[in-house]
Amino acid sequence: MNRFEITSKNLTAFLFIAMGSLIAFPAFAHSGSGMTGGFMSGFLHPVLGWDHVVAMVAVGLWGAFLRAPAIYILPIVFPAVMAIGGAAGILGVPLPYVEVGIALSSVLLGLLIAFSVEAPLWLAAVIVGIFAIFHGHAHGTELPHATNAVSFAIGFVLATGMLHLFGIGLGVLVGRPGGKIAIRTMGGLIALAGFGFLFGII
Amino acid sequence: MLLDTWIPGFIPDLVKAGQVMLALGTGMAIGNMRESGFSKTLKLCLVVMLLGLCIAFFMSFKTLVLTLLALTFLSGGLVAGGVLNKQLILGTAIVCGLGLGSSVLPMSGQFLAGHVLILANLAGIGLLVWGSATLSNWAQHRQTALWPNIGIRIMGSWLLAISALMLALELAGMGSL
Repeated sequence: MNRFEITSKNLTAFLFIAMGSLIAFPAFAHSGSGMTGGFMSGFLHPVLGWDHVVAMVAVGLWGAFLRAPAIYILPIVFPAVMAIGGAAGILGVPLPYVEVGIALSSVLLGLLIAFSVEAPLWLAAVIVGIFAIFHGHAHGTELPHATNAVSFAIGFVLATGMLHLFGIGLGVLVGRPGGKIAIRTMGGLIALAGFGFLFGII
Repeated sequence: MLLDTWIPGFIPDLVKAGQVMLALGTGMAIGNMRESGFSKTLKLCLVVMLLGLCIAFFMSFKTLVLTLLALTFLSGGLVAGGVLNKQLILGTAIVCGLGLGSSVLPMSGQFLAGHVLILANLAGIGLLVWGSATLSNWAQHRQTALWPNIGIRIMGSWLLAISALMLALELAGMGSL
């Protein structure tokens, strides 16, 4: 078996776990443990903003579309650079056009997927890294002040990683019959959503 | 009584998150080392941890939490980047081992629950380093599938990201470590 081959059984289990995680975790938000105080606050931060969700899924999707090693390099690059952007936001380092940058990330990543652009790895990493700074900065500046540092950071990074994994899970459909068209269509929808974010329609 | 002291001693309250993260990061970074140097590097790191503890008896570290987080950032970066350079891994193992060893002594310089707690904490951290190093080394050098290797590298990037955020929160005075 090829090292990157994904069986139907594995794929189904993977998507089930990824979706289950995304659906189940917000349910804990109502446990009364305090939204502003820790893990759930951090976990929900990337999950509750559609502009963030769409872009993070797009990263995973594009990574899977580009295949190895992009399938794992992009999800490694994004959280690492995003955290640095987040740190800058927390420390009050200004960054202009943050919301525009976030919306453009959906537009550009969506178009790259829709037009099946096979960028070299370094370029893909740079594109993803630049957008990660905007996403991280936005999260950093919006951070609730009563937050527990440890649990917030863990929740925040895990949620981001799960969104990437969800995108990768969808992206591996590219090897299935009709999968490439489905993924490119998703890319088009992501780009459209990005335009919606950009012009304030969504 | 001894057991009551032993169990919480595995992870003392003061720096537990920073310690655990650094122990995992250090172990995973050591796991990057190829077969020939892996065992030696792991043993060296554990010995250096003892040295760090000895140093901590004579010096107080006021920025210990920040140091632990910075070292976690470094080790997470090595793991995420898949760095295989022997000298770099060795250097990281030594520096992180010193950091971990010195974190075993409570930051105030006082013995919270005596020597048993310190020994238990050292053993707990050593176990974490050993476990994560063994797992990481297996995933990267001892089996043929690529997914375990990818999993370790993604975990490295998560450690790097979490430590960067925690560092920023600590520096901004918003942390609660």
